Amino acid sequence: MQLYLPIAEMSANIFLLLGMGGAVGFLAGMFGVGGGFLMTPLLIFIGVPAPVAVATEANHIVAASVSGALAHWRRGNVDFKMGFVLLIGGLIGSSFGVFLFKVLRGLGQIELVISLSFVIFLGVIGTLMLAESVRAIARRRHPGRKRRKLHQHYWVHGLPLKMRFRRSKLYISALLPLSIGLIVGVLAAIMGVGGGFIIVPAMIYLLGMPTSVVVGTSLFQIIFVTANVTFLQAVHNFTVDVLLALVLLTGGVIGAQFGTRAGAKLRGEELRGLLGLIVIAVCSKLLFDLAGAPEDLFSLTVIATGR
Amino acid sequence: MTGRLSAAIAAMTLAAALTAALPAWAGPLVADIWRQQITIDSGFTGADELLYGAIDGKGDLVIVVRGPEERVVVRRKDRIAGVWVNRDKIEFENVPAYYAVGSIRSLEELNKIIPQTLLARHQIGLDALRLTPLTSRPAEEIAPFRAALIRSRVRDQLYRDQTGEVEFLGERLFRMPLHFPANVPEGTYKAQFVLFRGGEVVGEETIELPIRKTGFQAKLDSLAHKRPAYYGFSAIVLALFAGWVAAVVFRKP
Repeated sequence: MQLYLPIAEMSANIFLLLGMGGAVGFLAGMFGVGGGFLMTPLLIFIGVPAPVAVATEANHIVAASVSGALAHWRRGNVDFKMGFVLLIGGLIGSSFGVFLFKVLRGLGQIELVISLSFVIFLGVIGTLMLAESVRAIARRRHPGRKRRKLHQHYWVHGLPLKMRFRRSKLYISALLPLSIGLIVGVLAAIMGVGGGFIIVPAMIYLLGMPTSVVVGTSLFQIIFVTANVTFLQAVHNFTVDVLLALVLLTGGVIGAQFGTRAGAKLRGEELRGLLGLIVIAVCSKLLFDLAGAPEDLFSLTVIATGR
Repeated sequence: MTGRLSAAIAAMTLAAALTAALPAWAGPLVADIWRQQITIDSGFTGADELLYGAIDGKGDLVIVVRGPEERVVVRRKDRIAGVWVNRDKIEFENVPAYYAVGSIRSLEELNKIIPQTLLARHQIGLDALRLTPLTSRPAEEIAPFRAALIRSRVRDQLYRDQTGEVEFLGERLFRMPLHFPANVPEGTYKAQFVLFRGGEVVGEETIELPIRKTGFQAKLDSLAHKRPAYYGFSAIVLALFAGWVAAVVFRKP
């Protein structure tokens, strides 16, 4: 059954869209990630214009993050103070990101920048995940090696504007979470991702937050950052396809339920290795499309329509 | 569908009867379209149209169907550091969103029979399309961009590079089936019927064919463009609500 998507201006099979939502939702539930970094490239692969894929995915992530954030909030796993500081950075970054998006679109370079950003980030993160997973499995086989300290002190702990974050048991400079929020905000706007795959490692390794509050706090700020992206994309670029977002969400909600159950049965290291492989596969496909000779060197963009 | 088709054929017969009976009143050419309006709804996968009519006696009938005019930018990729990047670009105005030409003759034959000035005036054939490049660059630099524009539209089935299948029933009745693919934009399309005889235009008629989005999708599209702030805000509220519903439905006991 074909469904006409009004903003993407294309027909797509509704079962394909539901299936994509379900599959990414399954992986998201299994690995505890948002899935935006897989969904945006998938939408581009099926022919959704890249600007529409990015903006629509931001809208989709708002919905997907709410359920997760609510669950973590009920368990008290959200550090609101840290969340707000991250969010201030996130709002500034994402607003700048949408502005940058509009400029790049006018220059005809937005598709390239989206693809390149994905190739770089997916490549780095996929490799790190694989390496980490291999190391963890190796450690399990040869136990007895020394573990890392819980808190390490780097130069970042000497920065000014120190704030106390009770829930995270931290006394650090507010500039640190602010700038992390800023960078992730820009990426959220340009790539149509929540940025969990960057913010979560950053919170653990750079800020030294306890793992228990990391996911809840990141989901909390992702809701507002992606909401900001959705609004600004709708106003400046007219690229949010609500219908597409709703169909993806329907599939995603169901997929996530099965994913969470499947995830509970697998070991953490193997999970991370598996996700690393998927991430690298998507990255390779994007890289191949960028480097391979295009079907036609010329491309066409309609900039004004007659009615 | 067959009902409507036979209705169309009945109308054609009527038109033919009228032309035969009242040639002076009807002129040398009468034409109409089967579906007065095409709607893009939720399940739109393209649409068929039928152009039909009658001519009085001899002559060469050419039908030109054009979509609404757009402004288009054509970009050329170059390889930079192993990656294909958009570099050069040229903008064009007056680019029809759709173009098809119909005749019982091939374009090559038409080129021999009809004077070039008339082919150009009625924009018969893709070479005669008046696409206006918004640049002062020399013609030989524009040509590959223009060719790429047309090539891309032909690939998307929005332009037809062959004369469409016009059929004649007897000497006077004609019809031309037309297919609009799923990716046609909305707007007012025009079907222009021109009758040539001895290198001159003896009859001409233009019929408008609106293609419009309808239903839920049309409302979304118009809201997104006319009230973007309201649309964006609603998109967020909808997402928050959907996420909350999902959380409630699948809440673990």
